[in-house]
Amino acid sequence: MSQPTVQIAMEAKLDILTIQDRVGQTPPPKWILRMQEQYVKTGTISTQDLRQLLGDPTKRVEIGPKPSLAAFTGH
Amino acid sequence: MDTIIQNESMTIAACYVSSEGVVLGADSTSTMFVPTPDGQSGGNHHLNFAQKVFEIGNGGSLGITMWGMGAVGDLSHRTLIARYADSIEQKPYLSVAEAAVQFAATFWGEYSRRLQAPLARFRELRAKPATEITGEEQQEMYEWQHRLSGGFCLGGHSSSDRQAESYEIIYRPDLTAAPVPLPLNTGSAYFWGCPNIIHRILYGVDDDQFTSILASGKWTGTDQELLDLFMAKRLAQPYDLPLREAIDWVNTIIYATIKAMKFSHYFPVCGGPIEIALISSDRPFRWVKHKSFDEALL
Repeated sequence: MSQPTVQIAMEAKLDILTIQDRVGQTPPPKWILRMQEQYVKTGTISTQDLRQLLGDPTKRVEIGPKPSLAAFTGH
Repeated sequence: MDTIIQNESMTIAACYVSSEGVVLGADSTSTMFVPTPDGQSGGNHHLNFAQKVFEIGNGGSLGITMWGMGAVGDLSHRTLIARYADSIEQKPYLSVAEAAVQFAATFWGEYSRRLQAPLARFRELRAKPATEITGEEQQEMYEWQHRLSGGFCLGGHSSSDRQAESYEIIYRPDLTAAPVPLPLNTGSAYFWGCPNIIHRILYGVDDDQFTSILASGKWTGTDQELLDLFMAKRLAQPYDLPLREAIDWVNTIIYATIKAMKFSHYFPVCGGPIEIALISSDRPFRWVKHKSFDEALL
């Protein structure tokens, strides 16, 4: 590999490591922590958390050429 | 008689509608709440050997998969489907659309009758003006809405034209009549329950992440502009896969979802053996992957 190619590859690797590091330091969202805490205390998952985890049972996901905004925002 | 409502919910169901046939797939997990003897508490159990894909009748050309409620009150999905199969033996359907309408009517009759009490309670709460409903009642209404919602995907072909078709039948407690089956597009894949993993794989973002970005206050564009940004980098999908590739696709998305849930901070609400069935335009219902009845005897 030529010198510039090696340098680009090394920089890309550094970028990925930085992203991995940042992702590793980011705590799970609050609702996940709440869900885990409730599960430890009661052995159950609340309806709201289950809904957030599983999505709306009345909404389909169509894997097609152009997904709609509703699939992501629920409205 | 008291209304029996199983504390059981089911997650993944998938369908690929190919011009060659319909592929139906599902995982095998049902999440069941088991109360303590005094009923004061209890725990969720993730049971991994439920069946969510069924042949309609024996040797027929229709299949069905479902998500949401684990049963219709005290009536199992298996029995509901068997009764429906008996009825179409007496009065054969002319098209898959007609079969889907007939099934929706059969389901609706049982749903309205067997779940009469919780449906009435939901409607009573829903009819309350916003100024009168308490926080506790709102919570109760939300719970009923979630527990009494779900759907079916019925697919196959009729002997009249052998055109492979599939229909989505969604039920909710706010409906006042049998749900109207909606046709699914040929050449596309459909997925119900637990869409976060497949969204992340294909689009690089799921609805939770998407709404978090919108809610952060740091995005100054419109919702649609943010979606367009992600969609420009999505994994594009081929149209109308050959049948065996469609089977691979259905297996892959279910498998990926199960494993991503297992190896993450999420709870394993999906899992167990993957079941896949095929109704090609030239043959009756066939199993691609089907667990045996001794599967749970580990």
